[in-house]
Amino acid sequence: MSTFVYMTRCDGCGHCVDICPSDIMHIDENIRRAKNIEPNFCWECYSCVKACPNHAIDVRGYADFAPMGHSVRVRREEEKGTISWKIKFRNGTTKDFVSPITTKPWGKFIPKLADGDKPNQGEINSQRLYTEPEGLNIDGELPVVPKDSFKKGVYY
Amino acid sequence: MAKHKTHYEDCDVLVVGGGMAGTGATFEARHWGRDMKIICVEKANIDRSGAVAQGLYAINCYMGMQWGENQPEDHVRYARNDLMGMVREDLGYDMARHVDSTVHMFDEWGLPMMKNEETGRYLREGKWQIMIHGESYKPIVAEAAKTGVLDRSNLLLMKK
Repeated sequence: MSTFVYMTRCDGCGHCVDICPSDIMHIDENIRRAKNIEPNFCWECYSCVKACPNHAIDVRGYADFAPMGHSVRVRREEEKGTISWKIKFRNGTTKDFVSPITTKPWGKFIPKLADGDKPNQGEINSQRLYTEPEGLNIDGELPVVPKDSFKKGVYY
Repeated sequence: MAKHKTHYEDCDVLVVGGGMAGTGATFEARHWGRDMKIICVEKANIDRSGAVAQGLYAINCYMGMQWGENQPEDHVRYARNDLMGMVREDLGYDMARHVDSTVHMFDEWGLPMMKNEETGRYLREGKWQIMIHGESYKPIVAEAAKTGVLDRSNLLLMKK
């Protein structure tokens, strides 16, 4: 599958160009609309479909194996905190899925590391990662085993 | 290619690639090296890059040490058996003992986790997997790399 753009809906804002992990959504220099310059390299990740404010991008199967009018559409609504998928099969049945995209206000519960206490040299030399050992929610310390208790090499 | 300019940057920590591992490592590196210059280089937008770009509806490894579900030793035994002995046990053990605290951070940051309403335990779909609503899995970790870290002027997230 690969993405394509409805030219009447696209206003050339470039959100899809910004988000595409494969760098294949580009703005056409003549008509100032987005286009997929290399459909074979599309990851089908739907990142641009979710990012498009005008819902101008859709994804279709290649004509040789998906010619019969199926569709997989998605709408990511940050203000509602949901993502909704509509799957339409070629025999006409549809399936709808709605899932939450976050449980907390965006980014508010991610600690500002610069405001916290600096780790001391003892902590830096320890085997702990950030938030450990408290973040493990277990009584006691990070589990440790002596390194020589592991087997050496590979069993045959 | 002739139009491309080369930028030269010195740094203490260079993270190559801003996928799940890269953005997580950037965040963790900032915690331990507060005064270091950390650069995460990524060809695309870190909100949607790497293998979790399209979302991922499971976390495929979680010990559940807090409920006594699995211990790191169990995971090493599983991996050794599954890969017929072709495994670095020390690396597997290290990953397994740290994974719980990482998952708890995602929970704290707002990743929707499916939980048993009575026990509060994460719902599993296998011995190691837990179920999540993972549409924002990557954006949340990317947000951590940005908000937890970008307030320091000595971090650069490079794009394209």
